[in-house]
Amino acid sequence: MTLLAINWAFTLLVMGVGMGVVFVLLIVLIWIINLQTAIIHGKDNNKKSVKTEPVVTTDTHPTPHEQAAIAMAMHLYFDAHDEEPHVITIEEVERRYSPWSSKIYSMRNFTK
Amino acid sequence: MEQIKKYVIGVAAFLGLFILPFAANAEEVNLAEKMMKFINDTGFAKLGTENWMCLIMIGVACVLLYLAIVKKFEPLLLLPIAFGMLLTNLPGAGLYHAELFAGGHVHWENFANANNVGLLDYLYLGVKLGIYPCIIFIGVGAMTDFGPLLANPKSFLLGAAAQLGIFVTFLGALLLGFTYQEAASIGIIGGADGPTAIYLTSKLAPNLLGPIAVAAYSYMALVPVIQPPIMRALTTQKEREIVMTQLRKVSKTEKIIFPIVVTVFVSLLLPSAAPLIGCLMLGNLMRESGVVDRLSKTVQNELMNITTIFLGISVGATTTAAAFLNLQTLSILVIGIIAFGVGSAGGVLLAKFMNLFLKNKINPLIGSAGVSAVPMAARVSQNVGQEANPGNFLLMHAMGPNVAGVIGSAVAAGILLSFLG
Repeated sequence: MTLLAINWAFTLLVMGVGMGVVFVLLIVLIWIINLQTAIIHGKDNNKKSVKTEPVVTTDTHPTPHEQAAIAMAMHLYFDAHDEEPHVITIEEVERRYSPWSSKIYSMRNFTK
Repeated sequence: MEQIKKYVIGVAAFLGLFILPFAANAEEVNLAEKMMKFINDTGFAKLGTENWMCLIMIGVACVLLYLAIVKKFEPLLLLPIAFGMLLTNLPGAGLYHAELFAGGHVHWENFANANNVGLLDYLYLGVKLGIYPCIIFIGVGAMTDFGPLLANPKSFLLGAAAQLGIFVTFLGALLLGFTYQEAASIGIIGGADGPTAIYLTSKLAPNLLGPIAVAAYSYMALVPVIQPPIMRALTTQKEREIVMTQLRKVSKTEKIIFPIVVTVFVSLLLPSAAPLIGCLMLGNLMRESGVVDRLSKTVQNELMNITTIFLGISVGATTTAAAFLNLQTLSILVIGIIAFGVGSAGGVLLAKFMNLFLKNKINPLIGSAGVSAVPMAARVSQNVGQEANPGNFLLMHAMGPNVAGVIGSAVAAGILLSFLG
């Protein structure tokens, strides 16, 4: 009975159009985002291309990433550690007299 | 002796207060009537007569309070909802009157007599007029980073596919005998987005607001239980191990332009989705612009928290015994969980389909994050992904479909509203 009571044409229309609109709308948003990204990055690239001049570098140092990798490899290979004196010192703490919590001033100091 | 004296005085006072009025002349009989009226006015007396079902609802409220406090199931919302449920089911308290909102309309003329209006009736106006969900959406927008979505716009497709649950459940609810408006409100549970579910239900089927809100928030808390078996069943070990390439850095300009473009475009195409999308994007623009830091912090914290309290209590208030204790509620709870499952499966399956064409494969596990439930669904993708490959970090990749799901469910709500509203 329920099957007969349903207006199938309208139900399928709601489902089809609903799902379709969700997809179409979000696909158009993908396109808009891609366009926006292209415009912004294109603009940035143009700016860079105007400003930048061919830079001739003689810097043959490795990049920071390469330096980190080399340092790590050397550390592992040589099993190197920082040398420490292995002297443990305990500094004595000087406590100055402070009467704020002194028992002799407390209220429970009954007279005998 | 002292004790006996006190006892005698106590007995005399009791007799004076309770017994003598019953055995006195006309003037004192009036006092007896007053006493009886007082006794009959208590909630205990009303419980004994026609309101015994309220006891069951108080029990249900206590179970929800237990889940919120001990099990920590979405406590920020479940706790006020459960307490609202408790308050509305106290016989005689008169905090909420469903008849003021009968037929899906606010009967403003009845609000004139303040004696017939309870505190929760006033608070419920915020739900009925669609104010609270929109304010919550401003806060959600201010807390959401759309960066992962902008870095990988393909995530939008996964967010769209996960809305499959909404429309499949819509059909399922119709088959169970619900009206179109009720079926649409039940279907939106599959969007896993509390404010959207409350917004749409308050417009289309306010009589089902309580059960739908409880189902939506309970299942959102159960996302870590519901989703993983579905994700594992639909993917192979090899697919779950896919490592995705690192996302590009998104510039501030892109993040600022995005909310403006989305608001204009979506609102022009689907005006009924404008309140939700507009508020979501307003909050996001506040966050990304960086010039209204104070406003951004306020909507993320104070405003959002205050609104959450009012929203929770007033949604809980709609769960009166008559509205909640019926077969409809049971059906909604069953269909709701199916909606979640189908939505999650839709996202995963589309991700697998996309992999047939993509050069840089995507891990299908991020597809299930397309149901909103931010950020719980993304965390589930991360956890299931790490089970398969401990060196795999899917969280940021899953946040893309996750926030796309928020937009997708708001759009789906707008479509249903324009068809059935």
